[in-house]
Amino acid sequence: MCGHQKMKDIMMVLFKYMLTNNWAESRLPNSDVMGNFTSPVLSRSAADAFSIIMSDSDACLNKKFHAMIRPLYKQRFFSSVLTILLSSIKDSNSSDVRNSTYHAFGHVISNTPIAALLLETKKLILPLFECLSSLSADCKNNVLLYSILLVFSSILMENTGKCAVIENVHIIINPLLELAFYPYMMLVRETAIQCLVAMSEFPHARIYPIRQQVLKVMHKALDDPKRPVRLEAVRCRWRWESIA
Amino acid sequence: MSGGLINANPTVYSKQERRTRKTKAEDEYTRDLIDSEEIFDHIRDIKDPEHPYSLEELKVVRENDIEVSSKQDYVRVNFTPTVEHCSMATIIGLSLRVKLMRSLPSRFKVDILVAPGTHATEASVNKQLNDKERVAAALENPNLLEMVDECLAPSY
Repeated sequence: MCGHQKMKDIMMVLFKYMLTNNWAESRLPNSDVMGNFTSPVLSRSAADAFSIIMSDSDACLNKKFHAMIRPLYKQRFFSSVLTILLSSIKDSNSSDVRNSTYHAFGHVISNTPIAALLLETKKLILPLFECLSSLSADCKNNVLLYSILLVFSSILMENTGKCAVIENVHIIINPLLELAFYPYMMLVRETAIQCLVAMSEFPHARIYPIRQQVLKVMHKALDDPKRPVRLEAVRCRWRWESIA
Repeated sequence: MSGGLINANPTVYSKQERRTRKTKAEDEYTRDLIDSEEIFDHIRDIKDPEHPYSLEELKVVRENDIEVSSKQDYVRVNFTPTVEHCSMATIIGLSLRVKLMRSLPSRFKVDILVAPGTHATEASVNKQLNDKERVAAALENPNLLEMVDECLAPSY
């Protein structure tokens, strides 16, 4: 798939469907046909197509459908698509389109190997958290939300990733603390608290200003309905209390 | 502190099996009530002030001696000092109280008591351990706080 012209065309079509807001007014070919579909649905389906490309989908990516998979295709797809996705997120006007773009972004980064992601952490961190905040509003996005949070926790484990996170700690702390109370999935709450435990190792000057906020949230998390979350909250609270 | 240990040769028992995490998909919305096993998990690894063993290994705390009522927000822990004249009983009791204070939601009332008949000055130790003001005053003493933190470190 690398460098293949048809792949680029497919990508451009998907972006067109995802980012076009109002089909009735657009002058794209086949817009009469497309006018029958509501554009948010179409937009979301185009975004979900990214997950089919990036995950190893046996049903679609096989020889029968003329898909030839070359090594490192995910990394190449990620690098070619990243700039377009980031600029679409910034430029999108309607909330539906922005939502779908966040979905596409989420699918791409949760399936890209971590080595490729680590090269671009500075660009990724803030959009990643905007994506998490946007997805957490709807309970249907559980699985995607969890995969993106796992990506963040893998970034936290690497030194290059840590530097990018440390610079933005004051911005990402609020969405992360909100995820500690995400009501629809226990694993999301647990992983968010584990990320906070890892963040307690950061330089003292960066994390001391947010210490009180974290302790307040952990105090409430001690009463979480699920036992694993409570146990993580105890650990997190102890770590953050000892940094004084 | 005098040179000799209170109990130079404690009996060490084997550790009990720990509860493993359920691997199958759990129901997201049912509440896991706080039970005596969870309280025991919080306190079993607290280190004895004198020896490098945990309170579970020395059978100072046992799961059967913990009473929990999640509906009434009440926890009672009975602990058994290893010898009758153990002067570490107050420190052990204080460590238990601090650990549970930091690990349970604030709605819980916690009572820490010496198991009946196992200590010479049982009544006085119980009185000290369950008086909020005396506990707060004790925790303001930096040496005592350091000792408690050292005992609690392995339990997190």
